[in-house]
Amino acid sequence: MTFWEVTVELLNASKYTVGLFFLTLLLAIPLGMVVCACAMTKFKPIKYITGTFIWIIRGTPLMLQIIVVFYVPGLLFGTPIKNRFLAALIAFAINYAVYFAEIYRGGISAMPLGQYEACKVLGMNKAQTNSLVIFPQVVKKITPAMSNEIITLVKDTSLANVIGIMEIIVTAKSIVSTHAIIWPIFYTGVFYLAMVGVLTVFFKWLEKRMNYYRA
Amino acid sequence: MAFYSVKNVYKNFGSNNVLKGIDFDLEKGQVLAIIGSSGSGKTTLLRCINFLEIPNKADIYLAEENIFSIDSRPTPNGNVSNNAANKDECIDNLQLNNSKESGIELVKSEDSLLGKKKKTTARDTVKLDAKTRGKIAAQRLKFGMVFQSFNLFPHYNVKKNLVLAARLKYDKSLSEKERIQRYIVGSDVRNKRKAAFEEINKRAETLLQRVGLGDKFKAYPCELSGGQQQRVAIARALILQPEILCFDEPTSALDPELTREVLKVIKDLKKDGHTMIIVTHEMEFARKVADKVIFMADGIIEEQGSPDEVFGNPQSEKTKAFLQESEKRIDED
Ligand SMILES: Nc1ncnc2c1ncn2[C@@H]1O[C@H](COP(=O)(O)OP(=O)(O)OP(=O)(O)O)[C@@H](O)[C@H]1O
Ligand SMILES: [Mg+2]
Repeated sequence: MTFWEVTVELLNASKYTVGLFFLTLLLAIPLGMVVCACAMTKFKPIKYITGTFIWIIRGTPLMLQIIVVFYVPGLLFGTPIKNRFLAALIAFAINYAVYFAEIYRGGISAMPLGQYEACKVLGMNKAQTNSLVIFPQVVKKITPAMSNEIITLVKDTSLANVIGIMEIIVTAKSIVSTHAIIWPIFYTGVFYLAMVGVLTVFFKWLEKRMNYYRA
Repeated sequence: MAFYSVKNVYKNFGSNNVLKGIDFDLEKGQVLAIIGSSGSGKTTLLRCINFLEIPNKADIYLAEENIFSIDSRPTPNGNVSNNAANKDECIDNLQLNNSKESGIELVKSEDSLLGKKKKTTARDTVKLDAKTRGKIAAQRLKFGMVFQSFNLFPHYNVKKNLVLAARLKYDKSLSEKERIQRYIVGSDVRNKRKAAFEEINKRAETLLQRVGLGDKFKAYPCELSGGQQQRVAIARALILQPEILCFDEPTSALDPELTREVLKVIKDLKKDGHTMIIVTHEMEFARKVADKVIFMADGIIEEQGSPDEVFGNPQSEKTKAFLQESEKRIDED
C-alpha cells in the first residue's frame, strides 16, 4: 500500500473520531451543566444520587462504560443497540458530562462569596446573579481545565474500537495485519497531533480573548 | 422618631451570641461611626442592617415606617425549644411594612424537632420563605453597602459596574406587558427605556466624577488601584440612591495614601447630605467626620454619643482602654 492510499484510508476513518469528538462535546457540555446543577442542589436526595452517579462514572474505565452501554440493553431487555456509533456516543457523552460537571462545580465554588453579596446588596435576584456575574467569570476560570479535558477527549475517541467502530487506530491496525507493514500504526499519531494542534491554537486564542480582565 | 431607628438587635451564630441587644438612632444626613475591637460584632451589625444576615430579633424603623421586625430567638434557657407548641411561639411573626408575615422558620428548632443534631450554618440560621425573602430584598435596596474588599465585578468595566444594577432595577419596575414590548423595535416602551438608560449613564458619569474618577469610565477594575476600586464601589452603591450608605472598614485593605483619597470621598458625601454608617478603625477620621460614635464591645453598645463625648471624655473603662490601645498603635506606626 502506498503512503497516499494509507492516508486516504486513515482520513476516511477519522470521520468517526471527529464525529464522536464534536457530538460528544455538543451533548456533554450542556449535560454537564445539568449534572452540576444536580450535584449542587440543596435537595438532598438528588444531591446524593448524583454524587453516587459521579462516583460510578469516574470510578470505572470509559472502555467498560462503552461496553456496558452497548451490551447491557440487549442482555436486560432483549433490545440490543444496533448502532455502535450511537452506543459509543452515549457512553462518551455521559462520561464527559460528569467530568465537565466537576470542572463547572470547581469553578463555581471558587467564586468569592463577596461577588454574591455584592449582587445581593445591589438588588439582583438569583438568576441575574448567576447569569450576569457568576457564570461569565466561571467560564474564564474553567477554560484551562476544560481545554485539558477536551484535548483528552480527542485521544479517548480511540476507545470506541472496543465495540468495533472503525476509527483511526483500528483501521491502521487492520492495514498493518493485512499488508504486513508496520508504519501506518505510527502514522496515526500524526492525525491526533494535527487535531490536538488545532485545538491548542483555538484555546490559546480563547484564553487570550478572555484576558481583558484579571480576577 | 428618628429618621432611622434600630431597636433590640440580637444575633447569634449557633451558641455564639454576637449581638446582644443593640439600639441606636440616626438622623437624616448624619454620619454614624461604629468603632470597637476585633470580634465585637461591628461587621455583623452592619450585615444585619443590610439584611445580609437576618437578625434573630430586631425592630427597624426608617422614615417613620416599621420596615422590619422579627423575633425568632431561642427560649430563655438558651436552647431552641423542641416541642411543637413552643416552636410556633419562637417562629414569631415577621413584620414587613406593618403587615404580618409568618414566612419564617428557625432552622435549629426544625432540626431538633426531627431529633437530629445539625451544625447550624452561619448564613442560614434563620430561614425565610421565598415571599419573605422578596420583601427583604426590596427593603435591602434602601441601604447601600461598601465592602472592605470592594467586591467589584472584575469582568465588567467601571461603567457597567455602575449601571448594571440600576438598569435591572428599571426593568423590574416595568409591567409584565412592558417587559415584552421592550423588545419591539420602535415601540414606546423601548424608546422610554432607552432614554432611562441614557439617564442612568449620565448619573453614573456624574457619580464617577464625584468620587474623582471621571476619566476611568472604560477601565476594568484590575486596572485600578485599591483606592480607586473602592471609590468605584462607593459610586456603584450610590447609583441606586439608597437612604443610608453603609461602609465596613472601607479603607482597611488600603495603604495610608489610598486611604486618604477614600476618606476624602466620604467627607464629600457627607457634604452632599448622605446618611452614612461607617465601621472604621480610623479614629481620627471618625472623630472629625462623624456626628455620632458608637463604641461596641462584646455585642453590646458600651458607649455612644458625639465624637467629643466618646473620644474626649469616655465614661466606660472599656472605651478608655480601647482608645488608649488604638492611640498606642498609631504611635508605634
Ligand atoms: N458567618 C459567621 N458564622 C459564625 N460566626 C460568625 C460569623 N460572622 C461572624 N461570626 C462571629 O461573630 C463575632 C463577631 O464578628 P464580627 O465580624 O462582627 O466582628 P467585628 O467587630 O467586625 O471584628 P473586626 O474588627 O475584626 O472586623 C466573632 O466572634 C465571629 O467569630
Ligand atoms: Mg469586621
